[in-house]
Amino acid sequence: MDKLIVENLTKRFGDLVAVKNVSFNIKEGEFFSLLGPSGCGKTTTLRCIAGLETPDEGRIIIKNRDVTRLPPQERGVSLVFQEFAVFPHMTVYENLAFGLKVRKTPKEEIKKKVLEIAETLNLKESLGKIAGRLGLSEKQRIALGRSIIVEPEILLLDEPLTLVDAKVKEAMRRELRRLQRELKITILYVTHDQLEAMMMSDRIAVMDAGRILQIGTPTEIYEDPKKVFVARFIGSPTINLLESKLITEKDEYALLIKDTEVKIHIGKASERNVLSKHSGRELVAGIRPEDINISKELEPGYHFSSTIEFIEMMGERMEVYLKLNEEYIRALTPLRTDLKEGDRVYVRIPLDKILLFEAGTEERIL
Amino acid sequence: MNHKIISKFTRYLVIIIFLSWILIPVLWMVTLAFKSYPEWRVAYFFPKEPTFMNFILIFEPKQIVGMMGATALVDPVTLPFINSLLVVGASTVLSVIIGFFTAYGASRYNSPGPFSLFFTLLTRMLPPATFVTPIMVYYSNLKLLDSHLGLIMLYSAVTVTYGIWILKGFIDQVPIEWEQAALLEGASHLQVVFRVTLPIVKSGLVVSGLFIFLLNWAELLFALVLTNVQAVTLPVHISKYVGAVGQLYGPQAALGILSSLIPVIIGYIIQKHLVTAFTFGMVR
Repeated sequence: MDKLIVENLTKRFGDLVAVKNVSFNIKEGEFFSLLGPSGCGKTTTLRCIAGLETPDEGRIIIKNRDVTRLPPQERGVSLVFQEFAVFPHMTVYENLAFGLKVRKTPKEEIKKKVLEIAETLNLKESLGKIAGRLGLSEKQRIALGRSIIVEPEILLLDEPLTLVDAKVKEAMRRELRRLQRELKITILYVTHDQLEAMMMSDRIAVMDAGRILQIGTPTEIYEDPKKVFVARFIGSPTINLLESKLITEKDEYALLIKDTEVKIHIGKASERNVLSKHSGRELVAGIRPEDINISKELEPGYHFSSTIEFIEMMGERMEVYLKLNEEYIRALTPLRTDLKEGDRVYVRIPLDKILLFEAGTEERIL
Repeated sequence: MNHKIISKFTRYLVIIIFLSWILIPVLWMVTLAFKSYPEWRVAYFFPKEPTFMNFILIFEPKQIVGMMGATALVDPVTLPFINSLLVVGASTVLSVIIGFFTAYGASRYNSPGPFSLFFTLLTRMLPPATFVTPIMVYYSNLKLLDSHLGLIMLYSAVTVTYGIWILKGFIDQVPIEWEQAALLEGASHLQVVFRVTLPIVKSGLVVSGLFIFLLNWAELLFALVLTNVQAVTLPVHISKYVGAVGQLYGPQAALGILSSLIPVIIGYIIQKHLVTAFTFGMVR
């Protein structure tokens, strides 16, 4: 069942259209992420769902109830802000109890639930402390606990991990995922960090300039991006995008990479009908760094030769920058001791891994 | 080394000058209050024969007749003291409460807009003397002359501006996310204000309250014009200690001590909040 349905949501701020015609739905118990660069409209979308902004067009339906015009209190959603909104003048206990207290829940029940959530979030020792004096990671857990304790239909998270440092972030990511599974919470997560979204989400919606470009599971978004923007935004190191031209040579298609002599043959024309209408056109070829094979030996079937401009060590892996004309091509390989900067290498690209986009519309064609 | 000593010396010198500037008049008031009648107008600092006479005089002013040519009978200080406490206390509380809600609205809803909020300051740009006469006429028609209510209304109307502006500064510092989080967790707007915002800006309330209290406590012109017998306040009362050939310094100094006492006590009680208020905004 769909817990949240967002239909044709549009929000303008003066002349600026922050969210354009956004639609998606979230299933019960799903971890759904809105992913995009800052200013793409993801936070505005979230705030519309929370009721902190009024959409100009569209509908928001939470659990079969149209909440588009309802005030925040009546929507059954909780929101964890980027700067954790803990109430600094209250103790941790009072913070956690806040939502229940304003609902006039019996004292005994409040106590039971607070202790329960404090146990889950590892806050038991701090219950009596004044929240304003605690560290970031504790504040974050308090904010999370306060949002969860009122049992919202949907938990909204607005970049909650941006401010915590890397080690804590890692732990919190796991923690959040565990909590979500354990308590079966439906989560809408807003982030600009693609890795975070990939690691935690069941599904991701990639946003840019107020629009949703693609919705899918992390694997789908990674392996099957529908737009150049999605391909570029997902994956680290960033995908190689090569401007090229589709040419036909003796019944075979080949990509002629711009400003070079490099041709990549991508199969018989008769077998690849999709490409027929693009023949002679400008295309963008996307190749993930990890799909590129580098060899020092001359092997049959290589596509071009190049020199290693420089190497970035990443521990168990390394990122190799290959010179191609004036540009670099990034290749990711497991740690190899035989490669050194300045080496001459032969590069091979597996044909089935090439993503082809139309240059003008940036739409995926193959 | 030498340089260090000089800089240290200069620092202490500046502090001593500054403290003297503030404290010598206070010391003067205190010593004067303990001087006997013959010593009032003599130019030395410490009384030769310290006495409590001046303090007795302000409660039993009958004996004043004759001193410095004083002919009129002055009332005991009790009633003006109680009047001042009542009028100033009530108008301070009113100013702070109204100020808080106005400031809250202005801060959170930008309404009636920052410019309109600025208009509340305009009332403070006229010298009070310009509108004290019309107010006296109004009050006379409304039967508010020489009444506590009249003074309370006027005092709170005049000082509410300070309440608004001081508190707006504090409320602006409370991140709106804290309130939004509370809203989303099911709190009503009123609950948000009373359980989240108000407790956080508590020190602001206290500080603006102290400021307004001090302003009203020392107010003379309105009280002088608008009161007569029933609602006379302390500053007006002090001005009455005057004889044919000059001020009655001794009782005036004793009254000065009495009227300084209340602000000092209040300041002592709320000093914890003063520190919080000055560092406000860093609590995040």
